[in-house]
Amino acid sequence: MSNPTNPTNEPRGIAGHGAFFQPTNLPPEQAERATEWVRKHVDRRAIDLGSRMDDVREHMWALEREGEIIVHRITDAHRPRMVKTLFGWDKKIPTAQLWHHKSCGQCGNIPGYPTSLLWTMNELGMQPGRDYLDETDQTSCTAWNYHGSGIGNVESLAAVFLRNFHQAYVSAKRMGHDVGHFFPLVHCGTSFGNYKEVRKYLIESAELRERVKKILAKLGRLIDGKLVIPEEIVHYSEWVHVMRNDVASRLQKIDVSNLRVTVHMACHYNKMVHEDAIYDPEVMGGNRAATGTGIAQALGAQVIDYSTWYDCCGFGFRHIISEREFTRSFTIDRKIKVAREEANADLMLGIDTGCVTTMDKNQWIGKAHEQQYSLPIMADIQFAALACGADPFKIVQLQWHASPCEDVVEKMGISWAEAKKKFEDYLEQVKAGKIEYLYDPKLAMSMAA
Amino acid sequence: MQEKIWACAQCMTCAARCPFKNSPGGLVAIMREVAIKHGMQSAKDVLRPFGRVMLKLITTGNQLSPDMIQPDHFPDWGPNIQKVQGDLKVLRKAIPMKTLQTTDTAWEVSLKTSVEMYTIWEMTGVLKQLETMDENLYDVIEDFIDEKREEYDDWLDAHADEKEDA
Ligand code: SF4
Repeated sequence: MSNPTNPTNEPRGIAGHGAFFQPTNLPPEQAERATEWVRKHVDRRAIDLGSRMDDVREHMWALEREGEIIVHRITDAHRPRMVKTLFGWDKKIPTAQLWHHKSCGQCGNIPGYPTSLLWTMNELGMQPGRDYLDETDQTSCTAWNYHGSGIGNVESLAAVFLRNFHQAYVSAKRMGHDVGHFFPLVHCGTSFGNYKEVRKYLIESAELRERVKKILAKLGRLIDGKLVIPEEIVHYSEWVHVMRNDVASRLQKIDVSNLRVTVHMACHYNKMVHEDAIYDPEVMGGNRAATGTGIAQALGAQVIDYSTWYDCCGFGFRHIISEREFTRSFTIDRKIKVAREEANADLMLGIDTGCVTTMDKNQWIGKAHEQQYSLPIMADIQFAALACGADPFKIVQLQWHASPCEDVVEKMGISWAEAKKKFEDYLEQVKAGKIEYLYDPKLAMSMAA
Repeated sequence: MQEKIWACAQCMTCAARCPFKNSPGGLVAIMREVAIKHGMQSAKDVLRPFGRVMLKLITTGNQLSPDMIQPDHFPDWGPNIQKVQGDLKVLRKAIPMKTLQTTDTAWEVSLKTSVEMYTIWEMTGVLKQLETMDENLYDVIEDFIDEKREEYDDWLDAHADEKEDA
């Protein structure tokens, strides 16, 4: 059969990018059959456990016993809750005394993400400075840059990991608490995936440990000459997941059962180090990673499944900056369009920075390609905060979103126009220096410089 | 091949699907590092639009900032990428977290933290990578780092004086 993109039928491969790409032209049934194993693999959690899948945490405990490292432990004071990961392993999620490890994409672009999280913690009675800390002494994980540009290496990523987590370990000293008081809560999905990869390298490679030890020594960030590694790498969506019933039973004010919700799972949450993602038999029969979906269910929304749930959002790290045609086509074709046409969704929830940005910002351009799909996009915790009565502007900060979030707010029975007017009045107060905070700003300053 | 390694979206879909537990996406990342190490032209071309992110990351420890995400940088995001218009500084001040009331970094990073980052970049060869890829950008970054280190030393001196006075 002649192929319109390759009339001479020269063998060029079927995958790829740009001019290299050409369709397989398989009839639908054959295409279905050709990719069946892929869907089966991910939907049924049929990954063969085998003897090769190793729990890196066992090696971590061994290193601690040998006096090689210090493990930042999750103690009873962190009020942990247990969950199960992909292979049924236990994972401990601390629910109190948390060190907020921020995301550059969230803070720079979707600030309602961290503000909704801190607001929810406050509403649950958590006390800033004792039950959580948000401070200036932390850097990005630098992994967005690494995955986008290739600048960086395992050693630099490991040094950043150890620097930031050492700071989490000692951060409470200035408040008079013991070391280890605050346990890191990682906001970004890419940081979460990257840190888990790095943890594995650090635990498996004595050579890498030796090399980064020199750097950490120079920074004054060793404890008794040892590296500090946290017992678990915990994503904020995991905190939301284990707290979902508390949020729903103690805080929820608005009925959201009229809303059809789709969830986009972040690749770097459930694919990068897939054995560490939470799965729960009560969430999608245990066939999907549970975070994001779990909180939507607990709030009583209608969670709707869709065929491309497993796909990436199209962020691509460098693509969102310099291959934007790829990013916007992917996100519209594989996510927005499917969620609208197949699931008739009112809303798409994300649990990560890049995905929310990509899906939120790349809808308007669809008009240029006669792809008029629009769908409100926000994070799970922003949706939860709205359902619990948070202000759509002051707290949920929806003013930074491009997608039609006002539609969801209105469907929840909140007047967008009134909330917006109130916020515009508040901006006048802000100009006069009357700013409302979620915590005492002095707590944030880890040093005067 | 050179171009193809940059096409990868680093979604790691392959890592979760490979029946042999390989990670093609991870291998692509290593191949990119090799392309950079050898200063390959494809890597230089691909990295050119990344200059701003790189500058931000290396000098502040943050990868992007609110002043980078403005409509003129992203015309394809449409005319209404924000639902309340106004001065960026005021809008950022209206975020109820002290660390986020910034415009040129995603959050306020303490000077000491940034200076620690410079040590990491130097000791892990990242600055060297940058020098291979873009000498002009490297020069700008070097000057910036020197300035910030001086600023930090001054702060330490002033702080030591304060301690003595007390
Ligand atoms: S090679 Fe792997 S990580 Fe890269 S785009 Fe393909 S599936 Fe994603």
